[in-house]
Amino acid sequence: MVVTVEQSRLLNKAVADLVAQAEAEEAYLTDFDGNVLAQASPHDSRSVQGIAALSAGAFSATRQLAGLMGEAMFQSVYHQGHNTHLYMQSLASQFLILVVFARQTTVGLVKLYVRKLSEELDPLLRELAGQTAAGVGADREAFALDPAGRLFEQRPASPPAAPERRAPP
Amino acid sequence: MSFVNLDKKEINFKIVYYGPPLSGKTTNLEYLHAVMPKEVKGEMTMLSTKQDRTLYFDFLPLESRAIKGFVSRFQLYTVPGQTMYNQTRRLVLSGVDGLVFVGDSQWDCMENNADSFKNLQENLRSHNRALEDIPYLLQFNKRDLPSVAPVEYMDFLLNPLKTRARYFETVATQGIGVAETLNTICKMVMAQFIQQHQLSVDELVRKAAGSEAR
Repeated sequence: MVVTVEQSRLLNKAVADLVAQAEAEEAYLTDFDGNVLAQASPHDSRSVQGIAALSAGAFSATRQLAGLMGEAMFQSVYHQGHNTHLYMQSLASQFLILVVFARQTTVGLVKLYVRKLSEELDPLLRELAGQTAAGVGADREAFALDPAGRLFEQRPASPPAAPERRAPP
Repeated sequence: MSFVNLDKKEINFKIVYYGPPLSGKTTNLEYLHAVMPKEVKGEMTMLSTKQDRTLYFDFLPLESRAIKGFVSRFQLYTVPGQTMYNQTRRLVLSGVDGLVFVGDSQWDCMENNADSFKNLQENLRSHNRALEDIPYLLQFNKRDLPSVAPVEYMDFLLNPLKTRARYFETVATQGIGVAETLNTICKMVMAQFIQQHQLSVDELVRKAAGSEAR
């Protein structure tokens, strides 16, 4: 999937508007594989990856659970914490909106603005979901390896103590 | 499938470590997490049972600048090896860009290796994917233990496709072969990505004609 500059800005603005209107703390728009399309959050995009991967995993498990109960899909999942809550809802059958919120708002208000966001973004998300595997589009760029680019090198310092091999149960 | 954000100049790739129970999938990620510099790694997430066995998946994000002008993010996942967790294995394979099959070299694990390899192919079919179309590597792990099968035998057992996969002999607990496996699968995944995103000759001609017209 390829998200263009214009699409990315539209998505980020919509997610930022959601946070402001629903008086939430932060929000993320991801796909079902845990890739982050847009975010309104104080965290950098690297630390957000774990949140996105875990949420996508949790939602996938919920979808399987729905199947076992004869439902095509549970549309939303709500995790209620002591101070902080997380509301997840699927959008356009392939994406997730994650909204983190605290006491100053309610889950009802969050749901209301998520519904508005869902309607607003539906055509764009369906367009993204309809891309072919190569994700081509008018803005497709040619990609090339960076001759100076490096992959992964271990730290020169001594390697860590080896993780212990786990015994069979 | 790879995910590109042209605004943030980021590309995400998903690499899954697959294999039978206790073959060393999690150990690969633990080692990588321990030895990679902090500038390239994110937090490692492990969803394990009380007995420290993978319940859902382990997750480790790594970053590089291998593609010109972009941050390339490699999201490494493991699957739970135990037979009963097939649903979750199938879920983790969704959108995979590259695979490392971690086989256990001990003689008495050969049946588990073969079953897991077959299970991988079945689970890919459920996503309408085939191993032949995905970059993948074999890792013959635990080569330091006594009573291991010869690599030729493991190659015969786990390398049945027409296009033969490259294999690495590894000792993941000591990190032997772990980084080499990672770098090789990353290169394979990027090579496929670049090939898929190359503009065709027709598109190049059209693009050139368009800029001349302007």
